[in-house]
Amino acid sequence: MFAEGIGDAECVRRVQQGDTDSFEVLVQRHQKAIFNLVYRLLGDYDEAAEVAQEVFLSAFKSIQHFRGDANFSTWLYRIGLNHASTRRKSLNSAQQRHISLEGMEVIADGSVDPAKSFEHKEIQERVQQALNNLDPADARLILLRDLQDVSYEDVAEMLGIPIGTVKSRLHRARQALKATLAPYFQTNRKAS
Amino acid sequence: MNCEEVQKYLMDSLDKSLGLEHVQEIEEHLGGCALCSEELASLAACQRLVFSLPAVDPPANFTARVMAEVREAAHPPSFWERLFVPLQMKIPLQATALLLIAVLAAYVYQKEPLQQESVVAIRPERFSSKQNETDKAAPSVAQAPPVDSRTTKAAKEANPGALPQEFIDAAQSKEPEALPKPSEQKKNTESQPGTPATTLAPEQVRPPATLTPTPNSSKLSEAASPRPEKSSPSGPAQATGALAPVPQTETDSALRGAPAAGKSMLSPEPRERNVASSLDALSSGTVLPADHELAIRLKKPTRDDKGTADRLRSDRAQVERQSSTLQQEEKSLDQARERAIETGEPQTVWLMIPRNQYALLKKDLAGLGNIEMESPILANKNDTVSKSSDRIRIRVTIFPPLPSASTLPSQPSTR
Repeated sequence: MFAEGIGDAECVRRVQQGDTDSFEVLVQRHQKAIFNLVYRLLGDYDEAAEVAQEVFLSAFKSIQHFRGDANFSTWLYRIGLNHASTRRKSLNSAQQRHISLEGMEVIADGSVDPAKSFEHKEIQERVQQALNNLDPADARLILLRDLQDVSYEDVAEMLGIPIGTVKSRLHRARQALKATLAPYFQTNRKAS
Repeated sequence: MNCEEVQKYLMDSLDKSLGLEHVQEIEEHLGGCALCSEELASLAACQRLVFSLPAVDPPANFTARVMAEVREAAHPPSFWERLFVPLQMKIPLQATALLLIAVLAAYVYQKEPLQQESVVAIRPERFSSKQNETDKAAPSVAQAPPVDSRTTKAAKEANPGALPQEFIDAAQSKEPEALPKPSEQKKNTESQPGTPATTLAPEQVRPPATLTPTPNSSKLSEAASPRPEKSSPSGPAQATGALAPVPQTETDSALRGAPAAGKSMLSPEPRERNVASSLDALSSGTVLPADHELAIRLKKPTRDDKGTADRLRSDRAQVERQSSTLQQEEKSLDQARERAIETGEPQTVWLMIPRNQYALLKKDLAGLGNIEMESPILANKNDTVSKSSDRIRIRVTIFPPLPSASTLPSQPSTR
């Protein structure tokens, strides 16, 4: 693609000038991060695919309003968080969410031992369940900071809160996650 | 540094953003405090677990799907694109729908051809103009069908001086009564099994190709009387109710041929020809008048006066011209004659005879009485029956005999 070498800001400018194809570069560049963020927030692969698609479409429709004050990724994350939160609320009210791990492709899984692979999947399922049981705001903070490695400044900008508030809320969210995963730690301790 | 103060810096320690001035103090405290050390280990483990969650690839066609929606949002499909795209699916569907509509339209069109032709024949220009003329000349006959005004006008033109007022009155009073009401006419048409439900306007009504005062036609004529006031017990309508042939719609008369086959004066073959001719005339948009019109005044009956049919048959035997097709005409003439004598009212009979036997018929009629009016009406240009067929239509009006001198009121003698 001719525009792959240019930055997000230039792609955005081209899209704003009517070059729809430049938006494809942005999609390819950010689809994985957005999809994973949404997927971890929702815990359902198909729902995540649908919501991620809506996120990019919504970004395209409102890209004329993007002034470039923040990074495009930050702006895109914010849209993703809003869509995922809305969908998570509707899913929570509609049905008990389930975690589908069969369909996902584990990239970092170098283990070939079936027993270890099963243990990995079990751990991932427990963590995902713990995230699902967290308050959505806490889950967002943990995922942005610990999964996506977004800086405090960007998190503060995405959520529209001061950095200090981000840190205190993140601390509280981590404590909540630790409490949720406490039985697992106790089991591991006894086993070890 | 105590445990409470250390808790504040655990987050920074996890994020490895702890200032150098606090690193040594925190490490010293964690080395001596198992509680804080365990807390930090638990938080770090949670962080690692979250971070170790595997990255999941989006669906393979994710970008394509997104860009398809993006392009659709950027360029909304035009009307034609919505109508025909995708071509491979919509074109066959639309072609099939068009074919079905065409087949259905053809089916409907073929199912009601007579009805369409009847609509064409409702107001032919020829009769509309004549109707206007008649309306201006005689407002009382305005409702009469075109054939009536034409008949009256032709009779006046043929012999205005000799034409008795009685004939004119009869022509004006009898003809409209034969007009069926539209509703009754529709009823008659619908009562025939297998006939299309066609409704014809009164202008369309005309004498049938062949009319015989059969019992069936008598009942129909009574039912089809358009003017209830005309069917008063002493009026001419009642006089003609039993035997007077009633003009019917072309379609009606044509389609009634089959049920009345046993009672009609014509053999089945001529009737079929009549039906075909009538339908041809309908399709050509014309209404057929009579080819000839005759008015006869009956002689006063005498005691030794035999039935007309018997006398005519004997005459025919004498000239050795046996014609089975005229027997029914003679019979109907005889019945009309008897009816005219009984009721004292003029009777009208419609006949359909071979063209070459017109002279013979005139001779027969001359035996019944005096031919007071003979009006050969030229065939219309569009008159397919008269042109193509060797049969002609004749309208015969039979007037009762004039009262004898003894029955007349006594006149003062001049002598």
